[in-house]
Amino acid sequence: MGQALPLDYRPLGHLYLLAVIVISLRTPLRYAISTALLSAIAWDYIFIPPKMSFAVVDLDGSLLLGTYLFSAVLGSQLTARIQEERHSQENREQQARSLLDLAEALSQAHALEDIVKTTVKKTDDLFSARSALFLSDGKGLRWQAGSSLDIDEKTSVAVLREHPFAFAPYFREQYAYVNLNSSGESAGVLVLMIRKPPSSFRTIDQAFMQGVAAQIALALERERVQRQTHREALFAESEKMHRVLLNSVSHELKTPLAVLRTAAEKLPNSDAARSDVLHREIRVAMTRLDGLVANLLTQSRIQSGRLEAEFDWCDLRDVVFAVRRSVEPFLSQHTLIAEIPENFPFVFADCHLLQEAIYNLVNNAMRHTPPGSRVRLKAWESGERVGITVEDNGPGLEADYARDVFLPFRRGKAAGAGGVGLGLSIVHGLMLSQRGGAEYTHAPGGGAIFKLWIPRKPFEPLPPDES
Amino acid sequence: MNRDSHKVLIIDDEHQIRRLLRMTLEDVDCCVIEASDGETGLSQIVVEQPNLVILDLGLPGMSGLDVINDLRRWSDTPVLILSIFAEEKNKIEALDAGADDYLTKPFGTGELLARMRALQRRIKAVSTNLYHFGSVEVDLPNRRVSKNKVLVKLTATEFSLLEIFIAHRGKMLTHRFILTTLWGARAVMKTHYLRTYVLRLRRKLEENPETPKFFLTESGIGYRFIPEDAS
Repeated sequence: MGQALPLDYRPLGHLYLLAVIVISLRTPLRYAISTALLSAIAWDYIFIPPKMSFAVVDLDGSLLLGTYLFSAVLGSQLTARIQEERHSQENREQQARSLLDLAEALSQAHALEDIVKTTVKKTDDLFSARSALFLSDGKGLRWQAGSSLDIDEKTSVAVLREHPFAFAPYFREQYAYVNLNSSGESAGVLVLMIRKPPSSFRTIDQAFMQGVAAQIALALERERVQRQTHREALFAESEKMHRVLLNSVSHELKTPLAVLRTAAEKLPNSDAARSDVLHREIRVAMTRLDGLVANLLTQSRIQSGRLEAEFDWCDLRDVVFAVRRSVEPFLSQHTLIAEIPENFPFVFADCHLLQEAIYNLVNNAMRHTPPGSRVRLKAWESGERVGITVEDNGPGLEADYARDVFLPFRRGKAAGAGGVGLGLSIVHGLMLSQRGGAEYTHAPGGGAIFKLWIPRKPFEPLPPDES
Repeated sequence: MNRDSHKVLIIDDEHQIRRLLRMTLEDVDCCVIEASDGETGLSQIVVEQPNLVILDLGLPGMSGLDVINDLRRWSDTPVLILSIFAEEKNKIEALDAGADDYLTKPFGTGELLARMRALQRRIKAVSTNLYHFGSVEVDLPNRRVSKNKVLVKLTATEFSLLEIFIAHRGKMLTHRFILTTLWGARAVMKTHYLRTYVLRLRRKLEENPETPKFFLTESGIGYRFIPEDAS
């Protein structure tokens, strides 16, 4: 085939060179060199005369051969560099994406627990390592989440002391320690158990690790600030409640005590008519004190979560009757009407708590409605609920108070003297503890409607009985 | 009540409560003995043989409940418990252990004397075959009941419940006690049985079932039968 070609063997050698260059741009160095050598041999064998046999290469040929090899190496090097550049570019992009992803995940985690979980999960994935997070709790470092690596709090503290620089990873044995230090105070340490040797962590990886650590530290710092703000708000609220409570309770306690004292002092030198009046005053003051103490006790039981309902079958007729008996002495100016259908079922509740809730509502209605008003109790069933409605035809509650009527120590503007604003919050707490609830609505014609409910429960039939 | 037939022991650690109770009881001619702790109280019961014991549940040292548990092993003396708010559980325990009734502090003296009278009545066993309360007549041996001279039909269980009430009149009966007596130990949680039968008894025997006078409910604790009999 060589004889058919009119060309000299030298230009043909250039074609081989072209092929070597093309191949070297696409393949790693060793392929490029093999291609160069193969090309040289093939060229020599086929084209250099005598054709189809190995000829001694002259100076021209040697030069061309050298060029083959040199081009191959050069081309491959170039390709390798470009590829590495691209690879590191991709790596950087990937890391930036991961950081963004991490930042987003952390920004969605609000509770400390979520932040901790997200952190450990993400760092596990990002560094294909097993990671553990130790957080500072003011006294020292505590393990929070992650793998139970074979290191303890003491080791981390020691490492932290040795290497206090924020975010820069510190390698020791197979662990990388990262100090999460954002605002001058260390929030904790992230420990990664890495599979590859520390020396293989390049600068770029270390920078990435710093970026990750900074994000985590930021999230922890944000959570800490939020917690503190929340705590301060809570504290302010409880401080306010405390003040209101102290003021109103001391007022509520001192008024009847003052009455009792005065009455006791005046009794010895009073005629029959005046002692009657004084006795009545004493009784009223006593009832007031009794009610206040009972309410404070119930409220503290509700708030401390110590109020546990004792569920039992209750006959609402009994409950309403007991309420009527306890308000009867003060009922002279109000009418109490109870409507319980003949076949109204028993309800599964804590009879005592239910009675206390209804009593509080009836008592409230009597205190805050003008004389001559009526209070109506209505038992009802609807769907999965049974309950009782306490309805009065008084003025109802102001619109802005009606919203948080069940919060403790809130009182309507028109509530008048006496009372600390505990009654309705107690009612709510009592119903919640019975897995029910309390709702308030305005009556269409003015007046207040309080609806108490508990879940309905069917009861099993009674054993047979002979007549 | 006269001094001989009514000797009352007060066991309470509060001196002021004892003094005021003494005043109240002496006004109705009771003979009053005092003890400020459980051990002294128990030995006073042995020595003085009171007709009634008024016992504070929240005693220091030996608790009121311990006193009842001990006492009921050797004496039937009626016990009226004084307790404070939020002690429902202890109250029921004390009643199940054999206390006869309870009052929650602060209580009115009228209420106290009424409870004492009811317990006093209980001590006298039903001596005749016919038992009366309100306009109701109960023929115990023949298991027949009439109201305003008209025969009232009661089921077997209704009558048994009425019998329990009459036998323990004036006494605070816990759900547990009535349920186990009527339906056995397995019915202890089935308060709806009891609610149903009490509602039926009220509808058949009370003048006004919605505001009962005889069969009284004590929320979360049990029932008390208060007959208006003269005996």
